[in-house]
Amino acid sequence: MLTLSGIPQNRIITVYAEEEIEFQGYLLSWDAGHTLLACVDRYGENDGFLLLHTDSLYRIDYDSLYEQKLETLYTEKKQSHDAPPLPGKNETLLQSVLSWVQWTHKLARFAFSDQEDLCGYIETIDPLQIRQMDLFTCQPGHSSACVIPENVDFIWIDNRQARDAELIFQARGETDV
Amino acid sequence: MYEQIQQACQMQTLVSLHQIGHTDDFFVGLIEGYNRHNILLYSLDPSGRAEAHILFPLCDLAEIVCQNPYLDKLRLLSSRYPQAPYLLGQKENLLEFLLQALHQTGVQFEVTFLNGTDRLLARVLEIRDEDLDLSIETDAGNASGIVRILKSQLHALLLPVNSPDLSAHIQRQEGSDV
Repeated sequence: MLTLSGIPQNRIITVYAEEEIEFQGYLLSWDAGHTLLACVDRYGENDGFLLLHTDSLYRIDYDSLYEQKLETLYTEKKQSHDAPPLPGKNETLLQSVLSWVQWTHKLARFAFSDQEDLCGYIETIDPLQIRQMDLFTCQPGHSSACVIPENVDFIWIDNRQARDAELIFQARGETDV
Repeated sequence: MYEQIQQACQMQTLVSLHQIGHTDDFFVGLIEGYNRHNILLYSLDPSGRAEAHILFPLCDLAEIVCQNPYLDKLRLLSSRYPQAPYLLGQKENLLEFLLQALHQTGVQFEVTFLNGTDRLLARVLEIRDEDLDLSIETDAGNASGIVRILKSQLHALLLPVNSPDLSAHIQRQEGSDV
């Protein structure tokens, strides 16, 4: 497993993980099961949070000209992330993040390697039940899905697409989606 | 194929190594070291001059050729230049041995990763059990970031042939291993 201690948490890093996952952002926290990243997109803007399996990480880059550029854009565009609280005692990072996503009613995308991604709001955590939303057309879904957290490759929370969808819901007056 | 490698290494036979998926692309040189996972080749350029010490995974190899007219030609050409291959032979910790040598001498080398095609110029900053930190440099030798990567994700290492420090270190270490 890749060593995460010593990776600067105040610098933008590029994370590479299995299933051709590649993201830029700030390393927020990690435990044996999961790693949480505050994502930054190619324009240096807040792109939500990414939770992925720690043992799927195989490479981390930092301090390259590209990451330095993103850091400058992030600062100059006055970007920030309202990070989730750190896990409590006897709580895993996964449990803590899922609780926060449910509590703050954030849209999340659940990505799988062997099936289509799921997007939606967390209804219950145990079992993990997702009320599905279509982020492309911004239509509320009519179904819920049960997800086994271990089978999810990554969970992308409150990214730009999700925030855009929420703007559309608000514009339509759909407050309780 | 493994026996062929052993024999070529012991006899210091000039060979060409053909990689899977790159049938037209091959390396010519002397096998300096090997184990069940990797092979270290003292690679020659088409004029017979030493080019690099290249470590790459054995599973990449499709074929080893020991005799053909091209090798005969290179044998003649290379005899005009001094050759200094490392004589490591069968070495179980070949990758670790070379990484430690690169770390302790601070010598710049080229590296490719399993999920990438680019050759990166690098120096070893730190080595841990499962991963290592590399300082990536531009062609001009300026720092261009740091990469932390699992050792299992390293594909090929290309070590310079013109580094007296590295050669001396490897020979010293090899001598002390014996």
